[in-house]
Amino acid sequence: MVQARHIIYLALTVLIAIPLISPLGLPVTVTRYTVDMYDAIEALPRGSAVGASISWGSANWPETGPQMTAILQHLFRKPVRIVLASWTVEGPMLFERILSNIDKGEKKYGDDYVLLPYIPGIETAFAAYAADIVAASGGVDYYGKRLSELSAVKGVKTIDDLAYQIFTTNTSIDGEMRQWSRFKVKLGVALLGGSVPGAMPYVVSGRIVGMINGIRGAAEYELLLKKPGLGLKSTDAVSLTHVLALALIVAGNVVYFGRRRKWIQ
Amino acid sequence: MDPVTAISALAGASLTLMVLSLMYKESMFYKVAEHSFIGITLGVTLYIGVETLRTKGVAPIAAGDYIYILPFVIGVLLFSRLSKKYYWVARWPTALIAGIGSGLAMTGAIFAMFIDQIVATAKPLISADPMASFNNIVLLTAMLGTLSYFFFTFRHKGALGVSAKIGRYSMMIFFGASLGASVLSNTTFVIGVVDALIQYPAWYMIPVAFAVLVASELRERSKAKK
Amino acid sequence: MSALRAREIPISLFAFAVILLILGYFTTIRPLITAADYLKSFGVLLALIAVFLGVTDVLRVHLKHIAKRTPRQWYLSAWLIVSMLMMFAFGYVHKPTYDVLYARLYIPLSIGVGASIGYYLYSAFYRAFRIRNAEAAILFACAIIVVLRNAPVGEVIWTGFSVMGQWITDVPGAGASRAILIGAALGMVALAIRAMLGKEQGYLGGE
Repeated sequence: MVQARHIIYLALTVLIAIPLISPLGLPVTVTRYTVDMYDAIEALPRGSAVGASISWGSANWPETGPQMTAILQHLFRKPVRIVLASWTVEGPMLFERILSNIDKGEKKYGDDYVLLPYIPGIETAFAAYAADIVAASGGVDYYGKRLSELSAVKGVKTIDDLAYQIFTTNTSIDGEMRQWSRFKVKLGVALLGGSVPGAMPYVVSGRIVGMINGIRGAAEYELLLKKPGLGLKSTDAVSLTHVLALALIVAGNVVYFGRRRKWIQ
Repeated sequence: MDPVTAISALAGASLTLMVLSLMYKESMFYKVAEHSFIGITLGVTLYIGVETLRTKGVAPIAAGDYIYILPFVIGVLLFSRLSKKYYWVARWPTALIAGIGSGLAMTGAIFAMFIDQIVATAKPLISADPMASFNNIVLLTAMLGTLSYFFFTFRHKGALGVSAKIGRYSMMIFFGASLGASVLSNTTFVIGVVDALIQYPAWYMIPVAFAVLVASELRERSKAKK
Repeated sequence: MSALRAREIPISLFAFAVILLILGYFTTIRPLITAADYLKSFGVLLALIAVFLGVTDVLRVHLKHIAKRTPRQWYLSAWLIVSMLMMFAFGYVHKPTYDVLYARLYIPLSIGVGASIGYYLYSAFYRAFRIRNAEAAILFACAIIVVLRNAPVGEVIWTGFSVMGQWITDVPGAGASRAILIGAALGMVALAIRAMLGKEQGYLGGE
């Protein structure tokens, strides 16, 4: 039997499908924390090493995938070395998927960027990585090559040897902050939209330089890079569905209070 | 598009639609997709786990770092929880894992979640910029109010009562912001799935899914009538 | 044997790990720092072995279903084990097929499971979110402002939503969140001390 919730699901699906097929073109303004990350990457010294890490799985791909894609695309345009670390089983495979979708320019694997293997343990892994990146990876990259033979990690031992560590996560950032904030490394974060309010104490205090807020932040970053992707493609759908969300809250309360006060049968 | 890519895309779309059939009602389609998901997850986890064990555990030992035999021995003891007689042995590695996690979290929390947060709050309440002053006052008030709300040693009366009330309202603001922000995250999940389903050739499965759903519903109704 | 079963042994191991990590963190005694670093790397390996334990537990449940021929379940459990073995085998036998299965089957399935949560949230907006008192009104007012801050259409309606939404998360929201963090930090220290003294034994499981 068709119920009210089925109509809501159908409305949600249609309101997403329409702008994906035929975009409305609503303008997107770039917010301060996204600009902070962009500027931080732009200011990276030539030849410095930058860390980027994944702490999410494929279920979060629609939100964090575009974020990391935009960040890595920017990093690959800069003359820096990139160290890619994963705290989840799927991390290396997700990095491979992202790397296959970006323009790597003249960067070569091993010399300019390296993919580390999955480092288990979540907070234990963060601590091990911060103390000794090579040892935490078991001394090898994801493909089994010895890290001592790869110039991308030359001179990189602790997290303080990185000019910037960008981490993306699907939960709170407390674990990373507990293990990394005592080091001097500059930290940047790309979060699920829902995790942003919980991360604000660290952002507002200045310990985190640059934050990307969900798919909206990914869209803003794509605008700054002038490289549209799923982020920008999704913003119209975000607009329509958010209006639907507000309409449902209002409608639900009107029906509830109307029935209680007998305005509505 | 080559046949392998097309068939795998159609298979992926079918499984996605089978999972989404839960939105109508739980059915065998959903259960098959759910079990496929768990099975594939386990397969991926096992594969990556074995490879990681090889590089992180076996390789250092083979290279002469024999101290890494110790975590192997301790870790294997975890499996004793599968035994009815020796399940208690698993408490030792569990306690060690919990202790390592606790020790790391505690040492980090004292600085990142306690000292640094207090230092960051210690900003001038009266400064040249009126907006900055206002913000610092509001932030300090919200923080102190929320902290006082969790102070259950005394009854929330008088000054403590007022402070705790301010804390309650501050938390409502925070939870409201979290709720509003979570709408973005959860909507993005749905955007991802719809985006995947409207690509070629996945969208061919949408009318097929509707037809199967209608047929299955009609079949159930005719069974119920009998 | 009964002496080995005593809970004091795991509690002591817990306390040993915590104390060694604290000493490695706060002192400059080289052997202690080295020992703490080794303990951290052991933790990584132990977490990895725990992953295998998780896989074993799930397999045990489903193998039981197959052995008992649980009605309407055993063939699903069999399919689960077949898909697990298939995925594992392809990782070694033919990696390109493993990559295709991961990209074309696993990722869409994951996203589909996540999307169910998104759909449920929208039905909850209509059925569950009731503004019954002043606190709920504040909560929903802030939620609405943040929703309109995140949606580009909010700025089209009124640019103030962006400013207000940012202020809510940056100032009062951050203040409350900061207090929760401080409380959580104190709670973590208190819980660790209680666990070291044996007053908290939840992590050891029941008898």
